[in-house]
Amino acid sequence: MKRRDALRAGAASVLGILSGCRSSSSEAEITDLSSPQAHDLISVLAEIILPETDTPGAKSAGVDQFIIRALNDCHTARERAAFVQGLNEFQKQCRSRFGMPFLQCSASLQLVLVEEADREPFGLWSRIKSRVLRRTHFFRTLKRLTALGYFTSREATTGVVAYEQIPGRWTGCVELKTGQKTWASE
Amino acid sequence: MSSVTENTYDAIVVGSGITGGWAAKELTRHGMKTLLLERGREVYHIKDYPTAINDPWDFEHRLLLTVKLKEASPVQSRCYAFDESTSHFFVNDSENPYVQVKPFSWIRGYQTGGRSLVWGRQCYRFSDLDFEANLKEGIAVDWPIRYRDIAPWYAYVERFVGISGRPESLPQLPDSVFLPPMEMNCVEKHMARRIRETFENRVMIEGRAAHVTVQHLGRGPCQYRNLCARGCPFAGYFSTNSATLPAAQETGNLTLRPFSIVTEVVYDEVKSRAVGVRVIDAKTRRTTEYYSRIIFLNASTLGTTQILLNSVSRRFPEGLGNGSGQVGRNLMDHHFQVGAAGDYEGFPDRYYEGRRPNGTYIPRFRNIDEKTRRRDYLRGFGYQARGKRLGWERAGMTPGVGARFKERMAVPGIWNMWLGGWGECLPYPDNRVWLSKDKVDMWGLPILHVDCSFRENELSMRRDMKNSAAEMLEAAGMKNIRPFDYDSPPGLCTHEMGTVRMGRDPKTSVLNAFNQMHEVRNVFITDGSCMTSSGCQNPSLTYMALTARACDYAVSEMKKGNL
Ligand SMILES: Cc1cc2nc3c(=O)[nH]c(=O)nc-3n(C[C@H](O)[C@H](O)[C@H](O)COP(=O)(O)OP(=O)(O)OC[C@H]3O[C@@H](n4cnc5c(N)ncnc54)[C@H](O)[C@@H]3O)c2cc1C
Ligand code: SF4
Repeated sequence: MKRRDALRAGAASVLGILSGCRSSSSEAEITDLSSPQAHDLISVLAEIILPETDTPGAKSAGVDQFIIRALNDCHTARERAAFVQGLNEFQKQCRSRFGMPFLQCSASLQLVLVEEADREPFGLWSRIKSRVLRRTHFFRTLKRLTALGYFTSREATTGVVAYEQIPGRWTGCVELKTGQKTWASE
Repeated sequence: MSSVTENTYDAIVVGSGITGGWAAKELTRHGMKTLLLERGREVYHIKDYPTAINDPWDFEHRLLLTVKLKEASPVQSRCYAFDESTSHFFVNDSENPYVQVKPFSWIRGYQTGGRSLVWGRQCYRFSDLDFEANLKEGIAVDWPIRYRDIAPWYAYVERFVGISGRPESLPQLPDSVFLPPMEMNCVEKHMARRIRETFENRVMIEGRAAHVTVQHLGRGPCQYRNLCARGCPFAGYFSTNSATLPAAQETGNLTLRPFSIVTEVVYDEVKSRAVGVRVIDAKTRRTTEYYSRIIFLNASTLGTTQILLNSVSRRFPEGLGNGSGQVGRNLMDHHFQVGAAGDYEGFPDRYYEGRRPNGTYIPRFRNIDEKTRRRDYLRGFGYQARGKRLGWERAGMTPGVGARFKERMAVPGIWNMWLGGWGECLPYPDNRVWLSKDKVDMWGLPILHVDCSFRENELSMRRDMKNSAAEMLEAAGMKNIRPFDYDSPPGLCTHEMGTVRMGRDPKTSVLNAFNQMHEVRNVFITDGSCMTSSGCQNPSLTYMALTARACDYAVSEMKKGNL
């Protein structure tokens, strides 16, 4: 992250706390996971979690589609609502701190916010809250689905993780080769 | 009556699961014209394994359970083997209702092969520690057999099944006839050594599993894909479909009739014997009767019990062969989902290759002799144990995002070790099932009420199962030890048994030492319902051996003109 952005982010987060209760935005909230808005946001978040490098990233592995399908088909309405609420709160915070929608922020500002969101569920307060409300922090759900969608994708088997369709052998104890990747499945 | 002759066989076998497949194979081998009745659809080996060679990305939900699947099958979906890749081998719960008086998960597969397609393939012999336990402790009734009666039959079925494992000469867990074992990985070897060094009576051994680790009777070898519950195109593990059914068919003596729901055994009051079975055709809904000299019931523990209770006659108003009143009682299942896990910081430079469809096993070490006697409970438990290196699945719970995070998650993580206990359950007469007086299923058959719970003995054992697991992990130098005790309703362990027990006395048991009904000599029952006690070993191997033994007896009795 550039130094200037970091300073701005720091200042903004103080401002964010101060102005936390001033709900201002008139921008449309996400109501539906199948909407383009939801898709765009999820897709960018997933790519930040597992970006394209010399190997494919979440987006080119189709993880965005998978996350939405999994949320729609494998989660209850209540879990989906909590997830959408989490996304909206995340967007709202971004606007109140940086004055613009998340998708319009620079990559480095986006990263600051995502890293915060990533740390949040590990915090004591958040852990208490999710236990009391019996609700998973949206970023935890997002990250879990991103990892599942990505590491079990065909794209991830091209150099990211190791995969053999038919191993043909079991060797219980081998030397770890340099550059050996984790198995895609066990 | 031409339809009678047309529908008459030497033998009828009801159910084509693990035990029915064995009965069909053994009876046809002896030249008996055998009708195998199966309530579900036909599943052809290989052809009907639609997901067997799918890659992970071929599944829309990457094997996460969908809400729709869970709603259609709230019970089956609790089973660890049930997911997008296997759900077609489990029943639809809404179409197959039963009443849970207390929570009981009835896990079923209605198709050719029954649950042999999805089973976990763990195979362990019982010993006299098990066969003598009831007598010694004054619990329930004595088994009418001892280890020496069944030992040759264990060997007989094992030579056909193909079981990978290593001889250990343990009195409480006799050796099978083995194919080569699947070796332990580094952390398991370490753990096994530390257990041997630290605890007098405990060992950790390679899991014994029905996998052909070398070519065996034209099957296999196992390719180490660990996708077995989808059906195996290599016939790498034992199932009815890959092994016993083809053998039965090869004799030319088998007629397999799918979509045939047996509703009752037909009893002839004049002849004082069972003459056949009544069947509803699941496609046409027509009822037909089939006749035979002997009948084997292998519809699984509760399936068979349901048929017996529904077979009422003047002679047997409480159900076929139920003069003792024991049909439906003494329901047992193993209790599990209790143990501990821990992390191991060593072996950063070691890994494994292939996907082993098996694990390791810690045989029972409690109440095996005076020295290991417990005051707080009877009987004992074994552990299935597994070591592995964490993979990418840790990503969801590991802080970090971005390129470096992605790279880190793709490198093998820390080793961990998981120990899960499988515990014996005592036979309690009031753990029982009965037929509903007012509720019927879509075929008009009274549905089952199941009233079963674990008691003080099992709960005390669970405490020990949890603590002993943690204690062994500690002895092996594991860190971050996490004991667990999850909800384990009876049934979920899929080892339901005991509702048509064997015994010596017709007044207190239903079957004799050869699985023959005391009161109806031409009916044999060799699925899990015959069990007099539960042991803590995975039971299917014992069911198979009892089946082969009972078939041998039935055939020789027929030849002598006694049946
Ligand atoms: C996921 C899973 C893992 C398991 N792991 C192990 C393991 O590792 N080791 C072990 O020993 N055991 C294991 N088991 C248990 C094992 O599958 C059973 O013990 C075994 O299948 C019992 O054999 P069976 O022939 O009695 O019943 P099943 O295999 O269930 O077969 C019964 C058959 O009867 C048919 N049927 C039922 N009612 C009727 C009727 N009225 N008319 C006609 N046909 C009928 C059914 O459709 C079915 O095909 C596991 C089970 C599951 C589900
Ligand atoms: S592990 Fe072996 S038995 Fe299981 S599916 Fe693969 S080849 Fe078949």
